[in-house]
Amino acid sequence: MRSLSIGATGMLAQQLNVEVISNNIANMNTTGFKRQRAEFQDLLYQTIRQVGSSSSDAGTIVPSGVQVGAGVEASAVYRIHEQGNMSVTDNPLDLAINGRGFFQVTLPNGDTAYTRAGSLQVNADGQVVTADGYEVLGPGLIPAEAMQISVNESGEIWVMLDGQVTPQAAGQFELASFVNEAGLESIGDNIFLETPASGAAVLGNPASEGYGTLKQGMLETSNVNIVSEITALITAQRAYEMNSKVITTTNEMMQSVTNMR
Amino acid sequence: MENSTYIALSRQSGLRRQMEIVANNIANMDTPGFKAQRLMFREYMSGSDTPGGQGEVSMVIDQAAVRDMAPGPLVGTENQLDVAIMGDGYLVVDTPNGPRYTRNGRLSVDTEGRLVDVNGLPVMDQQNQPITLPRFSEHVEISSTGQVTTNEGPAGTIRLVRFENESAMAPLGGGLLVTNEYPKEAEDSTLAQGMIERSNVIPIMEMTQMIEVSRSYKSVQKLIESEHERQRQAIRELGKPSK
Repeated sequence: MRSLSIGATGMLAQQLNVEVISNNIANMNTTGFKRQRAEFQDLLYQTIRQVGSSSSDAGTIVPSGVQVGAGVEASAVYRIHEQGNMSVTDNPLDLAINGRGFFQVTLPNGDTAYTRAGSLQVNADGQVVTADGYEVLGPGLIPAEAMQISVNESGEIWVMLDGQVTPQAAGQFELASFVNEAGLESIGDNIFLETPASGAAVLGNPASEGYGTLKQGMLETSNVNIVSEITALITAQRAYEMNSKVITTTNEMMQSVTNMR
Repeated sequence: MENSTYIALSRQSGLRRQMEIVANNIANMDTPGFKAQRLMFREYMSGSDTPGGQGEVSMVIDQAAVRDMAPGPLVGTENQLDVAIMGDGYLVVDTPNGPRYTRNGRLSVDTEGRLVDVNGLPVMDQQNQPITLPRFSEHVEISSTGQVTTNEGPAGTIRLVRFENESAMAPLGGGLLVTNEYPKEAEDSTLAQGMIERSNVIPIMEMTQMIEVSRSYKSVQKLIESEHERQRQAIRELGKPSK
């Protein structure tokens, strides 16, 4: 019976749903994390009686046919690039992006990747790096004798050198934006890669048209809303149970056929 | 002689199909814009060559799977590209095989900046052209009449259509529907931004229906078994040699 496999597609879909929700909950305290949502759509339909076919030689037509669906499938697991909240850290190299845009970083294999997790640091060579030590593209080297670093909203870096009274320009942060942010591929560690679906990265300065501003001394928290995740988890669990009930019922119906003498 | 078994069989095959439809409804409980299906049964007269005669038996046939057109509940998603349709309207999407219609308003933007549905098909505006969002658009406003405005200016108006005969629309999967009927502009339908229409499947109804299907199936099974027993006994009794 088809309902056996239809029930199975329903259980698989809800299983994926629970996995996505649990990953959101697990990352509720991850800087710059964007929550995901599983999307479902109905599978193809099998036509048993064609709609609009004629039901007699007098030309009467069937007003609606019989079409049995084959169940459900996951169409996408979307990432929702909604702005997260700002939390104050007072760390001079914690930079939150308020609005659109990503920092551009270089991965150890030389590829360019994108992140919104702005908990940056300076490494031994004076390069600005992410928490994983990946170099952020754009800003220049931070001099070793810099006493104070300040970054303004449009991404300009000013450093106060030891013994001097006027700050000096030390570089400029750039942001990358995409036509379709939801099309970025995430590879973990808060890092995204460009894909054909996202479109090519377009670089621009923070606070310019189409780009967000930088907020120094702040971090963007994850945009996970824990209350809605928990309610979604409950709904998904109930849906899972109902689909398993479909399988049990189908099994009973098939069993009664088997027991027929 | 075998008629009662065949009548019972016609009921059973209908019930199996009904179970499949219920299973599909439950599986699509979380599919946005999905409409529950109902199976409609009809009496089917067999052997009606002698009207009112003894040869006439009534069987049951599943005549149609009707889609329940009741609107699904609207839920807020905080996603600016989600739209829910209030009223009997449909969105028009363009496919290589012609226009298709959907009520799943979970839209996104593709690489060319066009508004697309979950299948990546472009959503049409009132001139039947795709709606392209300007490059640097950050905030998208979709009015209740479907006007798409970004911080870079207006981008077009989403087309909403309606049909006289919604039950003639055939589902294709992926939330898409197809029909031969020529669409009319849906003036009474409005859009709600940041909302999504959930499926109109009511789980409790499906569960009770499933129980009903299962019980009817078993009682018909019982009928077949007792009919079988009756025939066997008849053969046994009548087959005894007379003393």
